[in-house]
Amino acid sequence: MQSKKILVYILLVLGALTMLLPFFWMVSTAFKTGFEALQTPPTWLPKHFQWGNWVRAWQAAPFATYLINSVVVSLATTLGQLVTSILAAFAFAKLNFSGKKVLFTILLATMMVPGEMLIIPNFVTLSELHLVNTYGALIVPWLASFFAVFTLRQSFASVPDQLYYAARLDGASDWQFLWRVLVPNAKSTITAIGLLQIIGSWNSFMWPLIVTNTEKMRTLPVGLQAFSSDSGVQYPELMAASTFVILPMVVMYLLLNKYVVAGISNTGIKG
Amino acid sequence: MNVRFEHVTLTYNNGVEVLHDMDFELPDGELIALLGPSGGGKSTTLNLVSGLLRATTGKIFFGDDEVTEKDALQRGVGMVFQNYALYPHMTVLENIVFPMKMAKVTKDVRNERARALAKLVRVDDQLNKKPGALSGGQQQRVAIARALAKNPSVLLLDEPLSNLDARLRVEMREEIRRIQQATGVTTIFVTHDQSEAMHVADKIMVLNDGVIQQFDSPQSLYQNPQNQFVARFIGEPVINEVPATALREHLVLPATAVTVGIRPEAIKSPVMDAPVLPVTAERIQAFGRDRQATLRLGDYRLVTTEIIEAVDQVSLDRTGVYAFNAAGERLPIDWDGKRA
Repeated sequence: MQSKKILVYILLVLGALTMLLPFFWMVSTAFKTGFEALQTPPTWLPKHFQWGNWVRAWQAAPFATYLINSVVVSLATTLGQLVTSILAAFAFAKLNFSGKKVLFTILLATMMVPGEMLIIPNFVTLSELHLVNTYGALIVPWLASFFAVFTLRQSFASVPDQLYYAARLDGASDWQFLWRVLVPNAKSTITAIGLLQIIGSWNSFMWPLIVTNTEKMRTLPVGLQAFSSDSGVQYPELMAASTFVILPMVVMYLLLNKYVVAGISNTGIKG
Repeated sequence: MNVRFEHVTLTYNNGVEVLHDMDFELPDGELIALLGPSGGGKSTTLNLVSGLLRATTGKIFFGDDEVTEKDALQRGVGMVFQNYALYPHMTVLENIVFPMKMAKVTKDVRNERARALAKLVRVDDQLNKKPGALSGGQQQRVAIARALAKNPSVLLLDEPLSNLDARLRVEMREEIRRIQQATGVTTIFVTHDQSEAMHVADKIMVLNDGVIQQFDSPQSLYQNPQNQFVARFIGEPVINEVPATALREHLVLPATAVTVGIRPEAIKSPVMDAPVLPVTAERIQAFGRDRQATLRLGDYRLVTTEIIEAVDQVSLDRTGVYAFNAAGERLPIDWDGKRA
């Protein structure tokens, strides 16, 4: 029994180390000289910590602007997506309307469409709307996510219908029932969805790269490109910049970790 | 508030009529039980009163107001659901306050009233707990308090005791009685347990197959069942049913009688001036105050609670003997008639 437990822990530690290694390597490289970063055999820790890498990285591109853009875009897409998916999930979980099943099936089918296929049609639509290189281009295509609707619908559907009738009898409208009963009870699922979306939005690279064409509109991941030059990639500075790009997400994840786990592992409440 | 149904029927979308010509009046301020087997139409009837279901035909009145087309909220009913349906994320106090909050009652008034109600249902020491931390009985009490919070026209309880264990069930049924009498609100509760209904209700409506079998006081339901279903459904131990042919040589029965129902306590030691049946004792049991004997009358078994020793003859007490025709309708018995 005891030895079995030890074995499990050894496997877990190995797994954790594997996951952490790239992060360690990123931070370690950020302190190395350009030469040391490419040395073979590689060194685990830099011989001399190069603090100057961080200053150069920050100055290499207008990161303050990128940071603001990233924050605005991530928050706007996440909040917008939560609002649309909460409303849609409520309709699918608790309301009866004609065509509900058909609509749900069609939306479910859209989940099978690869995201890459949407890049060109979305770009064409946005350019017709003259939205290219605006916040609109960065935000609007992500305001609705059927994945979020689907996950939330499951969570809402697990709330007993009797609670809905009870709320109606207590004088609550559908709107009040949604915000005062359903949403508080699906808090962990909503937090998980929000967190996944904010991380996804923060990390997204392809779309912001395509729809922005000035530094003023770019987001942090796109800004990392500044470290590629004709002479190659400057890894230490790139890694330093990467570190401060992911730092806000790491901090946020650590703070809200328990909600994510609860939201993913448990999508119901006790009846 | 008295509740009146005028020729109400309910037909589901698939065309099946589940309630047939419901015509009754529930008196104001009484505790009324809707009793019957599963699928008998009792919860459906409750939902018609609440307004969660709409009648297909007929009219429903609360007092003098017709409410047939009004929804549950407009009817102002308070309802306690079978699984209590408390809001899991709110405390006991917040649960009780919720309907008043929706009705925009001022904060001071609603908190004061919620505390008074909590006291009435005896959960005033649990106000800051979440429903998940309460026992079934306590959740039930909170659900009743919440239903009472908006001064309901009628209080409806759907199978209020079915989720509780046996001991708690007895306690809660007395509590429901006490709370109902303290508030004086017309209360309707659904149950499939006849003893539950018999113990607390002022009047009982027995429902089967979507038809009212009898609507009466517990005492008259027991002593004067109008049909075989009611006779069979009410009473513990269950009434003895014997084919009329087995009794014709001892009793004068109507010509169309097919079955005779005999209450267990109507089978007594032989007395003068009462019809006598020849029997053989099969088994006599006694546990605590309960006595039960199984007797044989020809090929038929009779259960009695009055016999405590082996006998070869018993008398029938005429108040507990009923004759039914093939359709289960009650027929009068002529006790003074001469045997043919």
